[in-house]
Amino acid sequence: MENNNLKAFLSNNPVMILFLAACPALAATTNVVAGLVMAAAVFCILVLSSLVMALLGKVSSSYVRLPLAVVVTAGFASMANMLIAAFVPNASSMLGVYVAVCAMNAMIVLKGAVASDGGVGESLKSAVVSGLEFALLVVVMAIVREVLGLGTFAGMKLSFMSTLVVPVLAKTSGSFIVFSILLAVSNCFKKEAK
Amino acid sequence: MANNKTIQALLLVAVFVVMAALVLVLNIFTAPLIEANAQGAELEPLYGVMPEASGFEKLELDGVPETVSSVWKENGGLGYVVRCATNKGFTGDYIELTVAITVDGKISGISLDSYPETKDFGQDTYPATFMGQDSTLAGTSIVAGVTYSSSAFRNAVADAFEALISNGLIKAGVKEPSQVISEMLPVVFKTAANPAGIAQISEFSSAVAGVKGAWKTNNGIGVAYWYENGDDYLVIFNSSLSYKVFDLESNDVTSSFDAAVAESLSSEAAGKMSKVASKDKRKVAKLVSEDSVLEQISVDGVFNSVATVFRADSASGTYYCFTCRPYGFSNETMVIYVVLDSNGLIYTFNADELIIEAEYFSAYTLEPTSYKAGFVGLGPSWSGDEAVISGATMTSQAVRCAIDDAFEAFGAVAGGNN
Repeated sequence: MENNNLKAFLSNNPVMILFLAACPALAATTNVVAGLVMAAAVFCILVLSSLVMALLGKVSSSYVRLPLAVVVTAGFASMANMLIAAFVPNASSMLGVYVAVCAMNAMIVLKGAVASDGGVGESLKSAVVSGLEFALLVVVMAIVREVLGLGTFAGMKLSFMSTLVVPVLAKTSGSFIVFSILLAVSNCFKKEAK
Repeated sequence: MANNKTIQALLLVAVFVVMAALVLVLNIFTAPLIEANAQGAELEPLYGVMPEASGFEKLELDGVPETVSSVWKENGGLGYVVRCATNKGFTGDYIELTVAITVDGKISGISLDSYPETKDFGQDTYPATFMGQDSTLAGTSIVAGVTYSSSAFRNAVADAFEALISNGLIKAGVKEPSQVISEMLPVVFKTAANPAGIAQISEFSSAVAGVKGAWKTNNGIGVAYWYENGDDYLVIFNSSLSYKVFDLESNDVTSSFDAAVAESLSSEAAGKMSKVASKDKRKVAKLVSEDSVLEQISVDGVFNSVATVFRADSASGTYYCFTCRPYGFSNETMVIYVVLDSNGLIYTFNADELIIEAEYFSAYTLEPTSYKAGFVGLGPSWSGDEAVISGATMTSQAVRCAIDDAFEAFGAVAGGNN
């Protein structure tokens, strides 16, 4: 049972299934620290947006939920951007515009919009799972790309990797290669989960 | 229903106001931290080259070279730090560096902050050779084999000095005549420089009295002398032994130069030139009609890559055939033929070998027949884009240089021989 849940967790990643939020997943994964910060930011924005939208669910009509979700997500994305710039400036410069772009992150906005339909507990649970799935993907991609593409881990040089580096993995094209491989792995889990 | 819509609209506005208020409050707390971080990041490279600095003030200076990104004054009076970015390297991507210059005009710290190219020019060790140098940079040199990148680095450092000197912040170092001559040579004598302006010369010893330095150009069609008789002069000869003389201020003093000395230098220079005329004549004869009569024209007053000029008179008209020897990839001499009609438009274009060897950054794309045909009919106002060979930047620049030089030479020779 637990094994099936894990496989479902690994194969139901919204980035892998619908390619939602693929942009930051591809762009913010050249460094493990940047990947972790991005994952934490998306997790927090996702959970807080879903929580607020779930609380507003009883008083909001269906036709204002999407604009409400956009406003709420944009607000939390702006706050996350400021906090990262203030307290993790190095990661902020590595992530560039991609934290602010979370304001228009389809995964978060849609999650927020549908959160109004369910109860607070259910919405939070869904947001936490999606956030962890996104975090897992980003962190794994960042580790693979940084270690194999640059021969470093969190900026620290790995001497044993000096002759094994594949520089293309650290470039934009490399992010698509790693993403494709992880997509294939995810599909394997999906088949097994069925 | 209308009432519900109003409530929903008010809800949207209320949520917007609450979120905006939260962002505003957070901004009040984080803005000073973000500003401090930004300033710290900006100042970090400055402290890297001047660690004993007590603080920096950014200066807004007039007329600084475009390679200079910012100039900072150290608050304790130690000197200045200049940040530079140049795209004059091999690939055209930006090389960034930071240089600390003391108030007495000497480099006290230097760092290469960003080097996007793959070929190593000793980026870990080369910058250290600039320590202690004044604005003359007399003790520094270009790295053989990586001339574009090292030259770009050196020129950026020179620009850093220029920014401070031109604004009266430090005094310029005094250059020795030998340095003035070596810097002037590629500027006034195009034959002696590749398209990037880097000298392509070999030294030889001269038997003429008063000569302190003698060089022949690597393409074999030019000779230069540093002559001294109380004053210092740079004397340059082209393949027709036409000459020009410059003083150390780059003024043309040919008319007042001792004719007897010029004659002696000319005799020696003639022996140093490559004998290319007969070979060039055979080549250009194939480029114009068979019935044409070729006559060699002297390239007086032309000091660029044009080696020989022939006038071809035929039943179909008069043509001017220019044989150019610019420097291509790896500074190898290319031989390029440009034939212009009597109106100065390109009649035909050819080259002994367009791609001397594969350029090391990427594979080139070239279809020689259509590439050569693409020049036909072009005049002096051509854009230069027709010379571009994707993946072969140096070769493209050499072709462009050759065609521009042919047009320049046409203006000089056709008028008097038409």
